Amino acid sequence: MKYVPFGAELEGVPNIMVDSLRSPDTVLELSHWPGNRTPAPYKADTSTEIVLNFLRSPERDYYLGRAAAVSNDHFDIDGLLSTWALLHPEDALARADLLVRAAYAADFGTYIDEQSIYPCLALNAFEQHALQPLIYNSGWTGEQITGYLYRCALAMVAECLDRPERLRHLWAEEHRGLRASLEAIRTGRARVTENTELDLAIIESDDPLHDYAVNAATSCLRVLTVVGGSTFCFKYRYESFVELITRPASPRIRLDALVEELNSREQRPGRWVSESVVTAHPRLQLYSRAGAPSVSSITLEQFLDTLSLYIAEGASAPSLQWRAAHGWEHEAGIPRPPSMRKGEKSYANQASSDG
Amino acid sequence: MAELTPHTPRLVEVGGKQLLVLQTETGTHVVSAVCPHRGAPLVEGFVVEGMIVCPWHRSIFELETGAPISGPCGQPLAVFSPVIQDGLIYIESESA
Repeated sequence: MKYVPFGAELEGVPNIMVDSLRSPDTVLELSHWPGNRTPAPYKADTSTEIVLNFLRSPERDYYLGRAAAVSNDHFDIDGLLSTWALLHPEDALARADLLVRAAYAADFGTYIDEQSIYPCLALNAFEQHALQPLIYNSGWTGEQITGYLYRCALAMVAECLDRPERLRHLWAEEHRGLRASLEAIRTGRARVTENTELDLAIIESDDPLHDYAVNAATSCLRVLTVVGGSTFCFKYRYESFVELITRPASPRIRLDALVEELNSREQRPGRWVSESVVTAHPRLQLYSRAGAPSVSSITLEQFLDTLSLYIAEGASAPSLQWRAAHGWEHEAGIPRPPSMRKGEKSYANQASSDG
Repeated sequence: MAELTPHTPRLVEVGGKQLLVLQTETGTHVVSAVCPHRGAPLVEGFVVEGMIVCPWHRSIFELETGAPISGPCGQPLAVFSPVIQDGLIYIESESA
């Protein structure tokens, strides 16, 4: 078993696909992505936990004997830990508890405990400081970048799990920011209000908070952050995109009409934009030349009233709702994930034929 | 130029590299089609207020300069200076 980057190198190679959807040569899919064909006994909230369940199963040797490679069509920590676990089964099983918590924290962007957050911060910092500077101006394709990130980061997984302190100089600053955000929430300087009926949490703070702290503060999957009273960001959490096993996820309500209404009310420069609900972690926020989210002219009370009413109405309008399900990628206008594009025109071909 | 739809990235290949051509209120821009963070296809992103937003992790780049404005990507997006002549867009081949 070896890692083979998704793309041309993987064609014709029997593979186990982790944390993404099957390709024609896939013999086993171990993924929490919507539309996955992961065997039921292995299912779990993260792909890493799915892989660990597989490694403990009686079918393990059968599939490992049939597959020559493990692959994934995108790079993230859950994908990286899943891949590493398949490549190093005994090492992974020996660290199973930490792997599960680290993958959960990284993929769902939430704080569980110090021990599991260190590997997340270390791996992200290694990628950011050591790997990403080489990507700029490389001219690589997306698949080449993904392959490069996996090949380099796989060599760092054991180190980041066992001795993350060795890279502390790279992640200490982010960790301080995360601790400050957790403390702001704990002491009430940042206020958390939950409307469980709408599955909506409102988190108000004077300064932006670390996402991991925000998500750790609530189990609601619809989250509105309010910074300084007038900078709003509404998001659907990643848990409502993947196939979540441990709890039901509320549907995502399509936001197009709400965006229209906010744009008609907004007096400050910029434009409200909502990403498609059929993306991993969509946000609704005001974009201006200064970036996003930008300060809005809409008051907190007005925004909350409008958002709450919209979600409540959407909750009783099935046509406005989206849930993870088979066939999700076929929705109009939604780009298919890379691992499902085989047989379609590649970007290069598309560009050539476009002239 | 006539084939461009305002605010809609168009994917082209020049010198073996994938580029996006965009027309916005700030002019015509040619940028790399691949996000320098984790390689996302920026043709699937969206354009707003002279910026392009990565579809995967929401890194925001200024189209004029490629500078990262916010998001997880600390690296700039490669940009190319277009020359428009007789309705066609040219960029220097060595810059691509």
